[in-house]
Amino acid sequence: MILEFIEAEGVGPFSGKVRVGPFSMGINVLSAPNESGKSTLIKAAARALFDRYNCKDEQIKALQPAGTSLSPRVSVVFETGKRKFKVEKTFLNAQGVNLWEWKAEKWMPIAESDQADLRLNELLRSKHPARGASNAVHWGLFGYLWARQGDPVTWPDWKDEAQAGQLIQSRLARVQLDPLIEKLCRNIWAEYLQIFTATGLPKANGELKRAESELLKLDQELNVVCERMKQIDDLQSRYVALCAEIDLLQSETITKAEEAKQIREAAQQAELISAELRGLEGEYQTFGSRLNQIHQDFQKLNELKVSVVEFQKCVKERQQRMVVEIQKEAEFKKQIRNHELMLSQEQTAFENSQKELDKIRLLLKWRDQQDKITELEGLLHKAKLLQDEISAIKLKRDQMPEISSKQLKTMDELVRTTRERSLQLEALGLSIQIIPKNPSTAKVLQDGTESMLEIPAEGLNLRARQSVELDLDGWGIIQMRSGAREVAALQEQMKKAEDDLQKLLETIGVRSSDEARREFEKRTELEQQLKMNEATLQQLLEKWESVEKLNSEVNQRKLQQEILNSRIQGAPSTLSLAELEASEQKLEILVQSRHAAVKELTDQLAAQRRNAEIFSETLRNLEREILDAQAALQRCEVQIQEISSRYQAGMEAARNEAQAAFVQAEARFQEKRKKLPPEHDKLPERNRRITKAAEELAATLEQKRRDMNKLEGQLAALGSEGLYSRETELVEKRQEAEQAVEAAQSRGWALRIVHDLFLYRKHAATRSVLGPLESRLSTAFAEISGDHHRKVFLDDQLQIAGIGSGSGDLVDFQCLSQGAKEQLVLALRLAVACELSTDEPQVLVLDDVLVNTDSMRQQRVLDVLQNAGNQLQVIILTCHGDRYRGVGKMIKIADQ
Amino acid sequence: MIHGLPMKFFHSADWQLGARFAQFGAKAAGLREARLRTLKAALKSAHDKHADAFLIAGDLFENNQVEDSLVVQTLRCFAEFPDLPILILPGNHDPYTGPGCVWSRPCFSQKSSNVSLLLNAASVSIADACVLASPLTQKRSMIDPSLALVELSRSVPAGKIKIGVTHGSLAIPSSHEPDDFPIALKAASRAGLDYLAVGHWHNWLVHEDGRLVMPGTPEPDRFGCSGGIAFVQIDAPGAVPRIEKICLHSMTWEDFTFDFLNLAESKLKLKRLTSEFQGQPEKLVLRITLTGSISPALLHETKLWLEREFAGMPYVQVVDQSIPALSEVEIQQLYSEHQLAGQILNDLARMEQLLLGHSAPCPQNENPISLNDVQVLLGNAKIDFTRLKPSHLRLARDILLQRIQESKI
Repeated sequence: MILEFIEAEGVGPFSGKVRVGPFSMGINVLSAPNESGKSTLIKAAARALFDRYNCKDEQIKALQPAGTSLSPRVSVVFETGKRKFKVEKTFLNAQGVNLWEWKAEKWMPIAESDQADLRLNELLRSKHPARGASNAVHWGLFGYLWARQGDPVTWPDWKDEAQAGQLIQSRLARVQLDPLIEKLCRNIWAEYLQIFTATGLPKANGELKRAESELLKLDQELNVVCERMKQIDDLQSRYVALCAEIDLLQSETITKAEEAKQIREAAQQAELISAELRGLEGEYQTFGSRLNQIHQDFQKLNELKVSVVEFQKCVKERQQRMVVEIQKEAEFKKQIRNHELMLSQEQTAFENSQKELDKIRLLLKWRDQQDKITELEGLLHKAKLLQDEISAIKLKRDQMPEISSKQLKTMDELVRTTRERSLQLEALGLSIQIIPKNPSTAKVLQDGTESMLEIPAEGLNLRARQSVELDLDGWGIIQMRSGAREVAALQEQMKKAEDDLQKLLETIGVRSSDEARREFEKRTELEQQLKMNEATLQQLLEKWESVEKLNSEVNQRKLQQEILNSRIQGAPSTLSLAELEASEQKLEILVQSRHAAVKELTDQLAAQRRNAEIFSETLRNLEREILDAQAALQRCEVQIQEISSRYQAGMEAARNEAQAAFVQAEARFQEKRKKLPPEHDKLPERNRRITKAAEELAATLEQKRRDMNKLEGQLAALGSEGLYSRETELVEKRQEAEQAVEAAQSRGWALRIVHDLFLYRKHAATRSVLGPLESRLSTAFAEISGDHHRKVFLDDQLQIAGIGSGSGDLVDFQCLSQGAKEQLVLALRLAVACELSTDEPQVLVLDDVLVNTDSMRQQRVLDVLQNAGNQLQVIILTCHGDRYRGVGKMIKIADQ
Repeated sequence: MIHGLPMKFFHSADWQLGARFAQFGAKAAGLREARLRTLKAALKSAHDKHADAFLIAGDLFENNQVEDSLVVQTLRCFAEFPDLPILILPGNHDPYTGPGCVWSRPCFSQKSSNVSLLLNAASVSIADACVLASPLTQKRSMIDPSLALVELSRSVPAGKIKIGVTHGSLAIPSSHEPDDFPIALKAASRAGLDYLAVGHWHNWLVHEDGRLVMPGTPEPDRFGCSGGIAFVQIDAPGAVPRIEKICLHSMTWEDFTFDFLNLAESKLKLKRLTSEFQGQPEKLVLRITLTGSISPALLHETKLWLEREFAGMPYVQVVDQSIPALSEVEIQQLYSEHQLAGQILNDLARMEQLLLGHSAPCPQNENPISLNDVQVLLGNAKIDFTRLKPSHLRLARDILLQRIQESKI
């Protein structure tokens, strides 16, 4: 729809008739001051187009000029569907509406009153509200294309009463709306919600939930029945097993009873035979004992006879051995006597040799002692001389002044200081250059010293410390004196040094420093000599600590020598030392050999004596053995006599008789024994055991029978409950319930799938065009903002989500500045208008919408609007006419 | 039996009284009652034919734990024919397991004197014949129960007709399970029997030139049962038995395939079938399987027709195996009018493919839904993908098409 004219009378500030228009395609700027009625005229036009003529809502009344009761009358000429219409509507008191169509160059009435309003709805795809005045949600497309002054800067909800929003939305998203399918989808959803909740759970008290509850209940009942049937099966199995077990036990009982009987009988028989056997065994053992006794006697007799022979033989043999041993002993004793004699001789020789050796050794010792005394006496003499010399040096040293090296150093230091200060004084003192006409002499008095000075012709430089007095020939005396302060200080220092030196010299006891040095050197020399002599003396003395100790040693040795003299009894041997040493060596060997011989003889003698002792012992033993054998022989003969006396008829006959009796008794015993049953000794225990087992078996069998009876009772009770029939009934009911669940669930799922597929396809279509639409919006916004780096993002509902360089750094629409918001909404409104204008031209009303937009962006907005003006009718309402100068067509409100 | 006249007896088995018919839910009680009615009819028939005995070769009851009231009702039926000796052998469904089994119920202590329970391997004399019984005492076994008859047969005096009775499957290769009481195919001749009455399988079966008969269940319990009751006459020992199959079933089980390929003919045949049960609709157990491809609208219409047609029949079940298909024109129209619906149909088809493990989408589907999107979509709806079946997706498609159809109307 586009507008051509708006006429109003009795509306807002206009009591009279006013007119705006004609509006053209492209931009139309309606510029007028504030409160001049620009927006009121557009509102009035909207009321005329979209409200019932007989509406008396406050919104309609608000159209009346303030303080009047005039009936607002509005006439709008518009084009839609390539046809031109005019509506003239009067509200309130003189209410009425007429609708004309421009045909054949004139206005042709087509409807009036309610018909006219309904026709308008059809033409403009709008909808009247149920009651009261309309608002933007009823105005169809115009609701989205009119940016009203003062409205919030947001895009309206797409869900409007006239469903124009959905139409626009689908147009933007290129989704063809299908009202039939939309309705069908809603119905399907409503039907689904009868079965399931929106989250896909069975709805409480719904068809599915009821069926499921029934099914659950039946399942529970069925479980109980199944459990009981299973119980029957279990009992049945137990019963079958128990029957088999009882059969087994019964047959076992019979077997056991038979076995017990056999064992009992065998045990009784064994008991009788055993009693008889015990009697036979006594007889058998008696005969056995008799026979055994005879056997033992017989054996003993034989043994005694053998022993007698043995003992006789033994006595004879011992007696022979004794004779031999006695002979050997006599011979051995003779040998011992010889050895004793030899030992005595050898012992004497050894003692003589030993004495001779001792004498030679004493002589050698005497000689050695004598040499040592001589040597020590020489050493003592030398030591005494050296000791005297050391004493003399010490005396000489003690007479010299004692100067320490420190004192000497101090003295040198003082001399050096005195000299240095003197030189310094000289340097600081006077310098006199004397150039005579002819060589001459002069007397010089300097520092209290007078001297003569030769002055050559070429001149002389004379230096003095503090003063100098010259007695020059022809001139007389010339006195020169220095008054410098440093000189005084130096003199003072020098004086102090000289005083200190003098004191030190006095302390040492010398006159000058040179003398002190000389004395020090001499003393040092004496000290060195003394040390050397002392070292020599120490070397001479060696192990002795002093000369006195050396002397004592010499005296002691001399005393020892005296003792040795007395021991060797007389004058010392005339033999030389070498002869003495040779004799000693020779005697040492002789003594050793003789000592070895003595030892050997002693050992041999001891061994022979031990052997002699053994011989004696052997003889004694033999003697004893002979006596023992003779006694044993006698005893054997007594025993033989005793045994033989027992058997008057002879031993052999007695033995044969006993042997026959024993064999007969044994045969009787063995015969009886064979009659015992096998393992007869275990029979009583077996009998007890099998009796007990039979009792236990009987008890077990009884218990099992009781169990079986109990099982029979349980089975009979459970079996007659008719559980299968009950189960059948439940299973059949369950089948029905299951079918009901299946049917409800299938239906619900089918409905949900259809519904969700519808949404899926619709959403998919929306998503497929969202990108291009975002691009279009982004381009428009970039042109307005001048920032080509940001994109505009839409959400699934085609609402502006925000702007940013990517979806990750999106700035939410609500967080944008007011200016940016109004520019974005304008861009979307423009996109909507452009989209809708592809079918027919559309009017876009911008009522002072760029209040927060700066002048630069406003110019850019105008550029964008100008571009869109080819396919749109844009009506701009503004109180800033200057800003739109030169833009589009200027429209004025004209009084009629 | 009068000496010189042939021995006549009814041989039945597998009555399965108290059987379960879960697929019929609460209506199953009627089917159980029908079995008792048939039993009574069979007893009456035997009585009318002056049968010497009425043999039940196992599985009189479905289970050992059937309700007491059923046992009492059964015994009352037997008591109504006191002159007819009734010999009952326990089968694998109601084996004689001792206490707790149906045969040990107290009510059997008051059974009528014409009823004999063959609870042990033993012989019973009926007129000039000797009935040798080998009952089952457990539910499964690999031992041939007819082997016991060989030993029993030896003790039968010469000149007597030897009738064996046992329960088990015939040892036909690949037709029986090894632990299902396999009975040798020559069991009758092996034991020297004139006739071996066997029960177990529910279809009619004759072997060994009529000496070994398995009559099947007298009252069908599933579709395709061919069981009945054998009326046997044996003239003398060694004579070939004369066998007559008697069908006395109360219910008729019919499995009807309703092919949409020829809709009119299918309807006609169905009408013809049901017309036989005019007046007694409760005697027909009918399963109608819808097959072939059909448009949603026509399917809807057909289902409504079936509902109307079988409104009074309690045992009619409709199994829809049809393939809802749109004609080319319908598809094009749907796409042009409701593009979104067309896309959803494609998505449903693709989901079915994914469910069946086909990875490649249809070439016509330009923008197929991905497996990941399907999983997300189902996850949001808390639908377990592993529990989703193609039938759910077909239902979704039916709902969508049906709603579009309805909205147009």
